[in-house]
Amino acid sequence: MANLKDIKRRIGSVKSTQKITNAMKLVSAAKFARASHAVDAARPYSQALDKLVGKLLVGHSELESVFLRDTAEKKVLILMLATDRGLCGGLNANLWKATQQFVNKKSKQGVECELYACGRKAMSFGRKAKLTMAQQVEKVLERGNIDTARVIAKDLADAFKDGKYDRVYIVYPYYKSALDQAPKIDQLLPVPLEGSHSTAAEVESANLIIEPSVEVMLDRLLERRLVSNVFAALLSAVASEHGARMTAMDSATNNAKEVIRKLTLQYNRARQAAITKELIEIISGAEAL
Amino acid sequence: MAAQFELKVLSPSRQVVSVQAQAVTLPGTEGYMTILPGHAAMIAELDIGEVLVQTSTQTERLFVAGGYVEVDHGRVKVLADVVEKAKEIDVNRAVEARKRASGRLGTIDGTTDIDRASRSKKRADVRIMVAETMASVARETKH
Repeated sequence: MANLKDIKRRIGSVKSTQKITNAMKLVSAAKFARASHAVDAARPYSQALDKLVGKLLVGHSELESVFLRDTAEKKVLILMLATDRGLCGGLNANLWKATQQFVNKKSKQGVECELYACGRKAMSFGRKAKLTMAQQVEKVLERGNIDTARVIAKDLADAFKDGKYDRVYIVYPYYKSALDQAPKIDQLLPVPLEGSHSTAAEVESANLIIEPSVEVMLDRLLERRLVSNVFAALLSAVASEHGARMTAMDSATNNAKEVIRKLTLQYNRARQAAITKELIEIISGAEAL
Repeated sequence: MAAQFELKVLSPSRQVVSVQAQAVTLPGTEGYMTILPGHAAMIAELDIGEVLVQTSTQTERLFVAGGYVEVDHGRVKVLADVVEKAKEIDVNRAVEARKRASGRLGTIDGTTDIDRASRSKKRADVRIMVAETMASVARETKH
C-alpha cells in the first residue's frame, strides 16, 4: 500500500515541476519574441555601417589607425558573452567547449589568453579553465542595449590602445533560429577589413564626395564599427539565450508529461494489483469456511 | 509632384524614419547642409544637431548625436548614434543634463573633462531646442 502513496506523491511533484517549466517556457517565449525582434530591427544599421566602412576604406590601404594596429599575436583578450542563469539547454556548455578549444589552440601557438567575462556562466568558465580574467561583469545580457555595448566596446578599445593585447576576440552564441545557436568566434580588434575590395566599388569611390576626409573620420568610424559589432553580438546572445531556454523548457514540459503518463500507468497497475489481492483474500477466506 | 528621394534614418537599435522626402537638412561636422533630390554620391560625418525632414505633407524634426550620412544613387541613409523624434525627447531630463554640464563647465579644474562636458551641454541644448520648436509649431497650427 505504501507503494501506491509513493507513486502518487511522485506524480504530484512531477506535476508541479511541469507547471514551473511551462511557466518558464511562456516567459522565455515572450522575451524571445522581443529579443528576436530587436535583432531584426538592429540589422539595417549594422549592414549599412559595414557597407559604408567598405566604401570609405576601399583603395586606402595606407591608412593608419590604432584600431588597425597589426602586431604579432602574443597576448589576446577574449570577450565571452554567456548567460547568468542555467536551464537553457546546451547553450553555455557549447560556448564553453568552443572557447576552451580556441584557448587550447592559441596556447599551443604560444599565445597568452585573457578573458573578459560577461555573465556568471562566463565567470565560472574562467575559474574552471584557470584563465586570467581582465574583467568580470554580471547580468550583461539582461541589459542588452546599446549603452551596455558602448561600455564594453570602450573597455576593449582602451585596453587595445594601451597595447595590452595584440588581438581581441569575441565568443558568443550566434542566433540563427530558436533551435540553432551555435557558438561563434569573431575577431573584433584590430578591426578586420576583408571583403571591402571590389573593383566596382573602387570606380564608384573615385566620384564620392567625402566630408571631412577619410583620415579625419577613420578613428571614429572604426570605433563605431566596433560598437556596432559588439552590439550585434550582444543582441544575438540575448536572443539565443531566450530561444535556447524556450526550447529547453518546452522539451522539459513534454518530458514531464511523459513521466506523468508512465507514473499514472504504474499507479493504476499497483491499485489494480491491490484490489485483486484483496479479492483473492476474501474469496479464499470464504472458501475456507 | 515635386521630386522626391528615399530617406532612411537608422539608429543602432532601430529604423526611426523611412519616407519619401523632398529635402533633408543635416548637421554635418563642417556645418549644416541640405540634401535635395539628385544629390551626388557622398559620405559625410554628422555632429550633434537637428535633422529636418521635409516630405510633401509635413516637416519633421529629429535630434541626432553623431553619425554619418550616405547618399548613394539617390537614396539617403542617415546612420546616427542617437536618434530621437521631437515628441520622444525627454525635456526635463535634457534640462537637468544642461544644468549639470553647465555646472561642470562653470567650475573648471584639473579634473574636468571639458570636451565631454561641452558635448553633453550641446546635446542637451539641441534636444531642448528641437522639442521647443516642435511645441511652438504645434501651438501655431492650433490657433
